[in-house]
Parts: sequence; structure tokens; C-alpha cells
Amino acid sequence: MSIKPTFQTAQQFLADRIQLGAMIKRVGVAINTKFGELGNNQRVSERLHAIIDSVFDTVQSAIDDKLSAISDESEQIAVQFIYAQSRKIAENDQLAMLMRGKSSSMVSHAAANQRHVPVAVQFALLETCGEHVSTMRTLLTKTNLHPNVVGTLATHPSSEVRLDVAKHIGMRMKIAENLTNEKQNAYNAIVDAYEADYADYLIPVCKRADQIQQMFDETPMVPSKVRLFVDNPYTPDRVLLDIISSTVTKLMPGGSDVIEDARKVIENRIVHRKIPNDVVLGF
Amino acid sequence: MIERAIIDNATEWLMPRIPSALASTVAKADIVEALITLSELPNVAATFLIPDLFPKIDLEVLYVHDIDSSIKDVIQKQKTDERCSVPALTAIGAAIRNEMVVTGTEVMTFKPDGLAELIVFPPRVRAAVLHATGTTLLPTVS
Repeated sequence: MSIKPTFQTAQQFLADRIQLGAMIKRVGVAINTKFGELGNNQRVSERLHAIIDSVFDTVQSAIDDKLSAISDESEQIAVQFIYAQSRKIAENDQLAMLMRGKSSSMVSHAAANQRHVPVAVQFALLETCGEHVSTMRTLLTKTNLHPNVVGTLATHPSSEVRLDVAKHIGMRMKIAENLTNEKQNAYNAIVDAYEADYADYLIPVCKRADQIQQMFDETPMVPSKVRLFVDNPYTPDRVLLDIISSTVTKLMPGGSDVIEDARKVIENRIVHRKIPNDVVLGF
Repeated sequence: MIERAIIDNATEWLMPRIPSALASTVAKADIVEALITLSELPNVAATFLIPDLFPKIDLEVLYVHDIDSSIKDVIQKQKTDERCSVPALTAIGAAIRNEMVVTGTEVMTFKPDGLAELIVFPPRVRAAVLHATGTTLLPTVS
């Protein structure tokens, strides 16, 4: 098997790593080998063995030393969360840490900001730190966020959190996807809490005619929003006909193009369904 | 431990890149022995920096451990009895540095077991490497 080293400039290396997205925060130490002072072959191997044997404990001691220098308990816990994944802090231990520091938004944010937040910690954050808006928004950036957490946050008092719910769902859901019950419940929850700002994220991934109609009824007829409905193949005919007849849309820049496209969709449907075009279509 | 095939391939890669002044002082077998000794590094379940792994060569090595390895893995893996020489380590570092000069690069990355990572670089780009790997170096307790 051939595994070759890769050579890059520092700039390329940094750019590649940043492109990979959020990285696991690590803590380590620098260890000098002082091999250059050795002259005996045997001692080089022994010195390396000694380094390998001791480095784990050396790193742990360095971390403990750093933590003990922090007088504020909340700050201590937050630092532990920053390095929790690289130090493999168990889920139960993380829960205990969170309970000790739950009143601190610094702690909750550090817990939510882990690259991979254990599911039990997600629910604990929701239950005990739900009012920490920044923490909830951070949680909603996580790809492994449990759908039940997402669904609960759809009714959060903060409009920013609710918008982030719509973004979280819209960026991860596909219109052709068969949703699990949990994911469907989360989607239903944010549709029920629908505001026009969610349109860009929710409409392109919606398959249910009733939900599309519900969102249409609460969306202003500006061309950019109306376009979302025209482009969704599941948009019911009634919605398309309302778009076609909308004077508001027609009068706005780009409105005529959107209306024309809506007309084409309807005409195409008529042809494929082989129904006379003077019949008013609807569900 | 890294597979022997990987060590052999690494040796074949290094040998032609060792500067001629050093090549005469280091046999291929010395390079193999040094690599076998260094192959124990993936046994470690911690991230650490070695500023002087290659004597007289101004290159640092950051070992980024595999998150999923456990301390148990470390205990179970066997140590080698290979002899590793200082000249061989210098030759390895010189070969890497040579390749950096030829290719106009500064950072070498190598994943010997596909999991943990070895990153070699000159001290002047240490900050960039640490930032890129999300690594903070703590002072050691004396």
C-alpha cells in the first residue's frame, strides 16, 4: 500500500483546513527530544519510548494545571467543554458539567459549540438553558441536532432562533426526502409558526399542498417570494392561479416574468392531465 | 504500529531526497530502523509538538492524534526494539526539507494509518499550523 505525504504552502494548508468547516479543538504540549545531545543509538529509541509513554499524562497534567489556574468555576467548565471532544469526556460527565454551570451562558455556549454535541447534552441544553438565545442559535448550526430539539425550538420566544430553525431545516432537507416522523413533526412545527422570512428555506422543500397553501397565504406577493412557489412542483394549482391573477406581483420589477412562468406551469399541467383548460383546477 | 509496507514505501521515497553529504553517512537500513521506531507515534492518544525530532534540521513535527483512539489501544500495542540513530533522523528531516525547497512548500502532512496525522513544518509557520488544526499548546508542568 502506498501512502504518500502531501506538500503544501502554509497558506494552502490553512485554506484547506478552514474549508473543512468547524474543527475539533485540541490541546497539546511541546516536547523536546534533545536527540541531538545523544550519541548512543539505543538511547534514541529509549528516549522516544519515554516520550510516547508519558505524553498522554503530560498533556493531562498541563490541562489540569491550566484549569486549576482559573478561579471562576463557570470559566473552568467552559474551557473543559472546549476540549471535551479531543479529551473524550464522556456524555454523563458532560451532563454533570452542564448542570454545575447551567446558569452561565458561557458554559452553555461552550457546550453547544462542540463540533459534535452528544444528543443527551442537546436535550439538557434545551431543557436547562433554553433561554440562552446565543446558545440555542449555536446549537442550530449542528448537523447532528436531534429533530425533536429542532421541533421544540420552532416555538422559541426569540424570532432569531425561530428563523434559525427554518434555516436549519431548509439547508438540510430535500424535497424528495421521505421524512421520519420526528423530522416531519419538526417541519410541521416551524410551518405552524411560519413567518414570511422563512419562505426561502421552507417552501423549496415542502411537498404538502395544504402547507404550501398555508405559507402562501402568509407570504407577501413580491416576485422573489412568489418565485419560490412557482418553482416548487408540488405547489397546488390554486396558488399558481392566484399568482397569475396577482396585480401586485405584476406591477413589481420581475413580476411579469414570474407570472409568465406560473402560467407555463399551469399550461403544462393541463396538457399532461389532458383536462380541458376551461376547467378551474384545484384541490 | 504502521504496516511494514508503508515503512518500505516511505524509505523508498526518502532515500533519493537525502542530500548527498548525508547520504554517504546513512545506510538504507538505518532509515528503515528510524522509521520503524517513529512508527510507534500513532500509538499515542494525545496531540503534541516535537520541535527537534530531526537534529540539526529546522523542522518541527506536530502529531495530531486520532480522536477515536483510546488509552487502551496504547497499552496493547507493542514497542519495537529497533535502534534509531541520530544521523538517520537528521537524514529524514533533511530529505523532507529538500522536498519542501524543490516544491516551494512549507507543510508536509502524512497519515501513516489513515487516522492520526503527522505534520512537518518550519518554525516560522507554527502559528498557522496550530490554527489550522485547532490546536492550543499548553505549558508543561515542570
